[in-house]
Amino acid sequence: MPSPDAQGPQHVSGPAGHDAGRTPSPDAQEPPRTPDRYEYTPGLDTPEPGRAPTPPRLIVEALRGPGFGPVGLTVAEGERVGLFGLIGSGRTRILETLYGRRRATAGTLRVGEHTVSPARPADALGAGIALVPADRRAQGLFPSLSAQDNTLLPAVRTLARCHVRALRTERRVFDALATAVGLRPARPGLPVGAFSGGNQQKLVLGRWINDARHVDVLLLDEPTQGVDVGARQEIYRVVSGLAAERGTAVLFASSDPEEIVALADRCLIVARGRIVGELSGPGLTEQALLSAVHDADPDPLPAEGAA
Amino acid sequence: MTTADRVLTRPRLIATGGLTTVRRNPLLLVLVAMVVVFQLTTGSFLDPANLGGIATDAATLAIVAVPLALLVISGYLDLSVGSTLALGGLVAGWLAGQHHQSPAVALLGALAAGAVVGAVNGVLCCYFGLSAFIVTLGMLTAVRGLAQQLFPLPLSGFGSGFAWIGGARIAGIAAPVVIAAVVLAAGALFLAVTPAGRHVFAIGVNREAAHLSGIQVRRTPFALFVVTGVAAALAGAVKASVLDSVVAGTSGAGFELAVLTAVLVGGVALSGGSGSILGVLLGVLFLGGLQNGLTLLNVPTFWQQMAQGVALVAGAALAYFAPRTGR
Repeated sequence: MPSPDAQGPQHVSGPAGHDAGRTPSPDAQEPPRTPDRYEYTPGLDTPEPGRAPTPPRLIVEALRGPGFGPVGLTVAEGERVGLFGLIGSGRTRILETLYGRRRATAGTLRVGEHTVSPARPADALGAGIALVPADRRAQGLFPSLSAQDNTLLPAVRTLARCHVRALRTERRVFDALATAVGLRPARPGLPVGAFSGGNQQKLVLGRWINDARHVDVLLLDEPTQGVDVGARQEIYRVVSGLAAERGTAVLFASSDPEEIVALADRCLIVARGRIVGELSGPGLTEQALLSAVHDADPDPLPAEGAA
Repeated sequence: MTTADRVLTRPRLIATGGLTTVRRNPLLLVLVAMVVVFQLTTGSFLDPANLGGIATDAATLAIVAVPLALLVISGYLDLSVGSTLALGGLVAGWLAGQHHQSPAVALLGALAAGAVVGAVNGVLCCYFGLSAFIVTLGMLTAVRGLAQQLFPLPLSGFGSGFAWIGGARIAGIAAPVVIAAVVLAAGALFLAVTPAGRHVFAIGVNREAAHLSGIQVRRTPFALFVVTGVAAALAGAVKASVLDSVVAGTSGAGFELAVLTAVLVGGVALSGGSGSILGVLLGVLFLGGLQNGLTLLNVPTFWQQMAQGVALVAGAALAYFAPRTGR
């Protein structure tokens, strides 16, 4: 099967959106990844694909926190993994714990070779983990500040020399980013509150994917909530491109099966704070996702590490 | 469109693009109108000697108003500056007068006392998360009490060396005015060209989002509390030097409200996230000029106080209708 993914049944929506990221992967990307991700038994659940060829970028073992756990998962370099579950299933808590917004009560978290225990988002960022939160208004945006200030806020210090901002570099990074994500209007000085939801989301996403910052693990919580259809495809394209070109490990939570199918290589089903199943390849369809969540809920908790 | 972009993104040092500046600081027009009215009615408002007097009076206000404005922009508040000013003046006067220390040592002692007060405020507000209004209101009373306990008697006679701080003229300009100018320039540069200046705005607009962006949402405002305390003590030392006396019970009484009035009249939003140093300068000049002009016109003090109060409310109304300056 040379490139089964390109014609896979999961291609129901947004061909322009994720083809950009996915089609080049078998040839342009490091070849060992292809068998790793797509070599599965044609059942619905793929139990723990052997990931010898691609180095895992994010490794979570027995992570516990208030309201969830134990959770174990890995995301390989350049892989896009979805967390699918109902609201309240613990997806957001898992992501926020990985990002250091909540403290984990147990478990280990590794980025590449390094063990991290983030106590604050700043720690997680230092380790190369970034989060785009679900609630843009409350957790993402500074509505009265300009687009450039919003998106370069964490980068301003990195770019600065001797505590003086590198204004020209900042502008260049912003312009490059605006082009990359298709920001409209591409006006750095416009207050971010004046942008549409989709463009606001591009700016929040741009906080972590600009030229001034290198992110190893990108966590997205409801990446296209309140985003119009056009911007949604653009965001998928940008995220897929990031995984394909920079090898960023992407872990995203969504309650929209269409989004999971469009963006994820592999999907973990979350229910009651645990991972209760996994779908990938041709088995990853909207129908399968819905029935997986439906099945997951009434069932008693499966044994730990069912995924 | 491109020029508009450029105006919006260029860092605002003091004045960029005249029209934009006026539009964003309607107080500028009010200030000009006030100067014209006072000059026409008094005939001596614009005399160099009078302007120098206004500047010297406004200097202590400006020294504290700048860091306080930064604190307000980041979403906090410091009401204790009046008492910190008294404490700073007392410590400086005590070191210079009673202990015959050099002016530098006296000044450093005052600044250290201010830093301690600011650090207490900062720890309680930023690290323990207590309300800045309550903490600094309490500190206003507590520091005043401490100052009166430590220095029950008025201090005076600090020596000629110490008098230099308030009385010297640098290139023909009074030393307090030079200090205030340095503080104003430092504040404007801080907001315009340092990363921390951006962080101050971000924290004031949305603290949670700033935290999730990896910004130190505790350390920056804490530092601003310390700087505000230091600045208040510096203003106290300057005032002590000018007057050559400090009284623990009355020095700097009501100062906190005057500074806050200047900051708010200057267009800094009490809700945080918006404001500029240019606005603060205008606010300070407006208050100083108003007081001076009304004194020249022999308006009784009570009416002057009323005028200040009305100016604050009118300024708030003006800021409400004017476009935001926070970028």
